[in-house]
Amino acid sequence: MKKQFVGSLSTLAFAAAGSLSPAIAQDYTEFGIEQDLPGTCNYAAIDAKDYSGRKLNIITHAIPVIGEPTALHAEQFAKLTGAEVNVVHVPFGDLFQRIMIPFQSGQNAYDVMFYGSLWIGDFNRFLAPVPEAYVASTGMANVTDSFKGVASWNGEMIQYPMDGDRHYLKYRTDVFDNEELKAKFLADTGRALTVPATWEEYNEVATYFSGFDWDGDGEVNFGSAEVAKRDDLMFSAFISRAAPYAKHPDVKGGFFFDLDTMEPLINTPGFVRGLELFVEAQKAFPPGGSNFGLGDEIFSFGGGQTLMSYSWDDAFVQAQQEDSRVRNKVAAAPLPGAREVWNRDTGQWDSFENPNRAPYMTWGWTSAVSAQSKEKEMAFDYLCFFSNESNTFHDLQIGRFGVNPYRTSHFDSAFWQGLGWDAAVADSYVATLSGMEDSDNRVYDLRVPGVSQFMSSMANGVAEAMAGQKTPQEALDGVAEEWRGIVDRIGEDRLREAYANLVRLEDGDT
Amino acid sequence: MSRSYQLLKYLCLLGWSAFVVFPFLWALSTSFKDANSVTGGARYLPWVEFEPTTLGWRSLFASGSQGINIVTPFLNSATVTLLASIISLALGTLAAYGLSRYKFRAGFVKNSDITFFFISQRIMPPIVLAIPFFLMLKEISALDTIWGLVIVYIALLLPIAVWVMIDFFDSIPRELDEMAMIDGCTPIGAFFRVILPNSLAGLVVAGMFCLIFGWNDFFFAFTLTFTETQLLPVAIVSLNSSVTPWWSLSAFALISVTPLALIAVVVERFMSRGSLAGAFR
Repeated sequence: MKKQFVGSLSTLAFAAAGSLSPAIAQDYTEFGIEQDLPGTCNYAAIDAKDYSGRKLNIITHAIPVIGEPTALHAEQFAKLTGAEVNVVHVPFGDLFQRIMIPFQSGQNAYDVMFYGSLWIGDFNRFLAPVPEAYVASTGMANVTDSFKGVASWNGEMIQYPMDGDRHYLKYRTDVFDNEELKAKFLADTGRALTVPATWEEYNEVATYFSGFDWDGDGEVNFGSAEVAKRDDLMFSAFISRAAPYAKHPDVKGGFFFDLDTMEPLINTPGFVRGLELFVEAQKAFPPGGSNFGLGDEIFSFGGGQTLMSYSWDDAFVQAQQEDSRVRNKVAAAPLPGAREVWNRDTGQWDSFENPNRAPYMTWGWTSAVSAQSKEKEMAFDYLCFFSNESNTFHDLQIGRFGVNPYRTSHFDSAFWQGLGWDAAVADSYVATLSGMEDSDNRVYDLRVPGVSQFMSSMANGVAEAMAGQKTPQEALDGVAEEWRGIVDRIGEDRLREAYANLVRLEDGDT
Repeated sequence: MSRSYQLLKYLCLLGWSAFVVFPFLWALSTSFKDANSVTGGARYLPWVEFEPTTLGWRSLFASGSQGINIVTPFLNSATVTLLASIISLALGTLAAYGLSRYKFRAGFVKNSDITFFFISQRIMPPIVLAIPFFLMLKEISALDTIWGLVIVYIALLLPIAVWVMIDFFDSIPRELDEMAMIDGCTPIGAFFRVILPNSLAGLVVAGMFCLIFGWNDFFFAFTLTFTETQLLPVAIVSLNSSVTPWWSLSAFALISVTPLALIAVVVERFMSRGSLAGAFR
């Protein structure tokens, strides 16, 4: 491929023009894309680069989630540029230390890294800032402000956005729209069956629809599939549940900590209420549901076993796959909210007629270039190519890739309908996701040094409460005590400085 | 021996065999399933109630981004394990012979202390050794290299070879050495011409242990490599995504245990031969 184009005047002209011209001369469909869309790092522009004899080392997640698109685009990049691209796949549980060890020991092991965006608090001092040319690229210009914020640290973009992750509610429309089931629910509970607006309602509906075959497939169905396994992202599920009770829209200055004092807020009444409801929700889990990891949750909701679920896009996309028996029988909605919200400024619960919502922009995948890399330009070119317009539209269509909407152009119902989604399903999906971008009461993950210690401690405490070993208050008191210890070990000032980045993002001060 | 005792013995052996073989059968069955068969489960018989597919096996040899590179990690593992085992066995045998036949003393340090020093290298948790090894390899630019891993594995396997061979040499009468020397051998000649040939079973056992520990190591293979030298255990674990391809993982795992299983079968026969009987077993 390289040789074919080195002498091509048209290609060189493309590159010189920044490849913004809509006229795409070369056919790149052999790479698996429908067409080479215009954009700064489109196929033509990258094809014009020559990195022959040079090598790029990339570390990424295991195949398929993020790992497969990393390898796919690495292969394409190598063919286009002549570079040697070496991709290493690592399970999520090992990814942090696998990146951190070379960082701390001064080894130039990887040029490009794909990892959880919440690790920015630990990684920031080892990352190369995204050069202005890439910040101004067409793909980047279209990234939502929220995910630009996730990629930035102290006002500087140091992570390269390539994914947009958030938690939202997924539910079966063939149940919520079923007149017979609605009548039955009304008769038995005395209230109309509606999509849950609060977590109390969620638990009530989930419990009601547990233990009988409501979809007539001969198998018993259940109410709720949740990621409840302690060491498998359960911390995110808990945050989703606690957020509307603990994130008061009028209270600024920190969700996990009081920024002024760095006192943990994890055991305050809002979090405790969220945990109480999480514990209660187990009644509506499928057998073994208290030990469900993300994969189990995906197959439980996506496979049609459960009525509702909430987490990342995977379960929703699984349900919408062509071979899914629940295809176009699902819809998306914002996470349930809370009518009683803890106000830590006044020390009391405030009532809300319309449930308080706290959209959770849960960590999500990101990418970055090592400050030690000797191939920074090629590394950023790879990331720019990875997330170019053609590749992103291709990757969004493949559920197992784990690439989810993060640009305003992705919030287009027509695109999803083009994949065979019913208009109602696509509309609910787009409205839910884009609606989260507009909220001014968003919650993000803790993005500070030692975040893994904080989240692991929280997951342990939540697991103790889920197992009935401690009351929710006792469990979270224990977590708060551990968090104070972690703050002391890492350093209060260092943490406050880092946490301020997150608070600015949540409070909309960026 | 009564018939009931025989029956009980064979029942116990059968139960134990089933227990040992069960994970392999499960992996074999899973390697021929697809996502729906794995996650959907079977109502009655998980081994037969599914539509077989070779998806898992094909993925191991597919090219492109969906393929899993099994050949390079396999060759890396084989190279590192074989080299480290051979060198450890050679050095360990000499050290063990010395410790078995000669008395050393330096202050309060004597043979048993030296032997314990070797064994202590295995008593220490690997995490204690990881940082020193990392820094040492970094100093000599051997991180993420085959030969760097060989050095580390020799340090891990040498104690095993010494430990096994000392016991073995102790069980061989010293008169054999003396007779060889009366016949004109030097001490070294006696070792190579008389003692070593009689120690074949011990060498095989020590070699097997070295191969098993070397082949199965994950921790150092993971900690001391980045991109260039991925070993088999690391490659297998790397398949553990948030949506794990259990079919590929099972096929990969079965391939990874096959070499050791084959060696064990061959060695078992070898060790049972009359000339070696009673030497170790």
